[in-house]
Amino acid sequence: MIFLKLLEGIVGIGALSIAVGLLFMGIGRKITARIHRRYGPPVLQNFIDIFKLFSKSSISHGFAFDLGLVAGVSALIAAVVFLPMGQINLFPHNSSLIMILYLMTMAYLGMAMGVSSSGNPNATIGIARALTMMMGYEVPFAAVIFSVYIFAKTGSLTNIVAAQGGGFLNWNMVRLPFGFLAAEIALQGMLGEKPFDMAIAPAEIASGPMVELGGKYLGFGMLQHAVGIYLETGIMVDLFLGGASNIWIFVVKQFELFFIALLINAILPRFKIEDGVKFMWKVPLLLGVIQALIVVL
Amino acid sequence: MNYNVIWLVFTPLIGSAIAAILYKVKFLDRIVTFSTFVITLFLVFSTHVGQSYSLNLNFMNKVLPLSWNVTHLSIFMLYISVIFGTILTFYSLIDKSKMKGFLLLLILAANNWIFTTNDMIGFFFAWELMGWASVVSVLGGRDEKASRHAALYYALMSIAGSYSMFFGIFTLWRLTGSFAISTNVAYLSSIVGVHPWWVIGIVSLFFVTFMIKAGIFPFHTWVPMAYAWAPDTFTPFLSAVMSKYGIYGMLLFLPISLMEKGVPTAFGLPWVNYIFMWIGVITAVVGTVLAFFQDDVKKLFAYSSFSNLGYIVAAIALFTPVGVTAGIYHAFNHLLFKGALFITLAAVISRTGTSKMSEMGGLWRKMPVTFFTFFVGIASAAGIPPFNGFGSKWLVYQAMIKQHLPFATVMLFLASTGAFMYLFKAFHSVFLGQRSHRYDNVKEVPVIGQIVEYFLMFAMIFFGLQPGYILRPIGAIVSSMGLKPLHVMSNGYVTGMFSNVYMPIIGWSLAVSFTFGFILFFISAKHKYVSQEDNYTAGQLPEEWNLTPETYQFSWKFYEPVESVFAPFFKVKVDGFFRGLADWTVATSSAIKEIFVSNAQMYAFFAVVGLIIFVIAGWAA
Repeated sequence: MIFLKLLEGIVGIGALSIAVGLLFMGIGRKITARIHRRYGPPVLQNFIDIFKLFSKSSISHGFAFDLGLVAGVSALIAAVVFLPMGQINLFPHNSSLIMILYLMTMAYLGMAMGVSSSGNPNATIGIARALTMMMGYEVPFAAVIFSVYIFAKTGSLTNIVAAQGGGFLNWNMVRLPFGFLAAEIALQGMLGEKPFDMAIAPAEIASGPMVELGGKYLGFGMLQHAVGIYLETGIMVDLFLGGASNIWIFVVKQFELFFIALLINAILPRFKIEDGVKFMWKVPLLLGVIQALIVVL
Repeated sequence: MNYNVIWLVFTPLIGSAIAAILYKVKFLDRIVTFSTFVITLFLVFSTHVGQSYSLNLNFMNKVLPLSWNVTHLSIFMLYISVIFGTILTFYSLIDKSKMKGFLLLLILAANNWIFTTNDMIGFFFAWELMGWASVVSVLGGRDEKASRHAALYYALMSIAGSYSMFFGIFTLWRLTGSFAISTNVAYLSSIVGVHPWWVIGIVSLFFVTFMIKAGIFPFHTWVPMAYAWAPDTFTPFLSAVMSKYGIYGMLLFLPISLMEKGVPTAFGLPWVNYIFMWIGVITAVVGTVLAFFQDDVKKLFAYSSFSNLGYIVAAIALFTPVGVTAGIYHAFNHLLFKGALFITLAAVISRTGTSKMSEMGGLWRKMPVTFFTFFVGIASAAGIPPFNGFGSKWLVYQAMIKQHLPFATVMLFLASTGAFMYLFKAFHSVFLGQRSHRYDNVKEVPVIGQIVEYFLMFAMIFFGLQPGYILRPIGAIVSSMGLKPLHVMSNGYVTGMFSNVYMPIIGWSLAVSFTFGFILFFISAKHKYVSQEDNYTAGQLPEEWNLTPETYQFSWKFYEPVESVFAPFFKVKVDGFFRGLADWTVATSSAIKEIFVSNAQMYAFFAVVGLIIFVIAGWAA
């Protein structure tokens, strides 16, 4: 019974998250291009890219490389299944936020293992930068999460969404404004958008983790990014924007968050890694701490 | 009277005597060690809660009552320590290091004694036996000089701890006239409302010992040295089992709950508990930060161990049902994954002959079983579900948030994210990346080692998916401490205060999504395998640049940016404090020595002054 539900869930939600993620990426390219006064590729360009990549032959560096890249996408999809999104909420009693965050870590570990097993130092430098940045943004994000936990007296995303029912003024975005700002900056780092895109800095380390990827491996990398966008913005929607009553509103809310991230991405240069971490530990962490103090006291 | 309780102590002692006779023949020594562990394991299986034994020793016309009593906590600790020891000694059948089996058996005897004893004299004897046997075990690592230095440092810390505990034991004996632990703990909790400072003072005498043994900040300085330079097959025992003795001791004394006695509180906790909780949090963070910058892989995991014990201390210091459950559960999980990690490291070091991460790399093709065990181990240590480390970390957070301690929780979260970073550093530097040509002929560990690795891998996944098998016994321990245990719905659930996690569903979800991932992988276009030299080098030919696998491997200064973030904190050195203390002691002692040896007149003067003081004191009394 659970198994069938999971099967449906993973096929359906996997396809949904990939489609939405790729669409967001396509729209993102278009918007960034317009900000830069370019025409930009078609909105569906990323779908075309995926089909192209999966039909091209490629090189692999061994079973750890294969396993790691597959794990990068699969573990993220396994995490998306537990995310309440609108009326789609497969496991309402099993949607602990911390569990989802730690399950996401498995995808990063898989990806990191895959690209590092290729033996290219550029890839590993990229991973080391990404992990350093992760330490940067996870601390303010954790402060915000625990504030929400204490505020809502629950750790389950389903209940956090339920607690925000009944109109705009009940959203955590309004009730916990400092926490929302901190989480918004942390989200910028989570999505790997500028000014926090040191991990894949193309001009410095040859696209970092992606350096050895080609064909379907690059395809898996792209899918991971797509699902990652979906999951991370989805968590933010559930945490702060009151969830949604159906999946369409949910996606629209996700897009709002992604749109803000895109606008920041389009105009800012890149931080140095240590400056990025220090920034994360100054501004957003301060906001998160203020929020935590307000909630506790 | 249940004799098998006392046989738990005597069997390893007999085995130890046999192993000591046979220690020249390494294989026989290992066989005897392993079979003694197996026999002890069967004895543990026949031990039940409530069994007790007592014995009156006649010592210089004084009766020394020794008693043994099996509690829920002791049976849990016995099971996990002896089972892990059995696995480790099975692995050490193929081990070639200089570890001596009889010392391990002495530690086992002490282990069983510590966990079952109910009197402080036995506790102290067993503690000393364990301490000295482990100090001698640390000798005989790969680098003789370094391991001697490490053993000396460890011995000094142990002695300091022992003095402290000895003083505590006899202070309590003067007060209650009894050596029984339960009597003394009951006495302390009865007077805590009247004389809180006395209780804190006496209990801290014990806690210093326990903190030294567990390696809690600021007494952690011996940990990296001893772990790094101990024989490779002894380090797993040191990290997995022996660090838990301190935790066990703390759990004995924590029921002196200061909660209801009107003691001043801080953030809903008695302030002593609050401070102790912060010590745990600082331990977790300091261990994590120091682990980033190690090049010796065993040292890295030593700091990791130290950091994980911080989690345990922070959780049990709360002394709430969730806190104690989380602490003991994390102690178990840490035993399992850190044991597995150190065993795989022993396997790697036995094949490569080095523990420097900058000299390793790319071993995953050569040692696939070890590689996967290590992978599952770091996934557990990073707290990734459905492996076993997740449930306890998650419960620790729940326990902290329940007490409204967001800052401590955030610090622990930082330690956890940092843990992921240093674990990946070790993973990459040992197994991934470019493999040096030196290791072209490296082989997988022998079959026995592989069996152990498969078993540990299985255990880490099994206890991750079925946490109930551990949470139920922990529930019994928690209720035996007078707290309300967490409700365990079924074996698959980790039940927290804020939400529940059903572990098997995560496992199924991952299984299904991985199946689809691999279907997509295999139906899409073909791939071909290339060697590690076939790599992107920006259009340059590697030969022209004299590029070798060693120089094309990234493992030196792995987290350089983090170093600049944490730079201000590196100026503080706890080790420096102890060194300063040592220098000060030497200076003071030599100043005192000057009195005796430099000038006869001065000596006579002090002798007369001393005599006068004695006479006056005697007269006044």
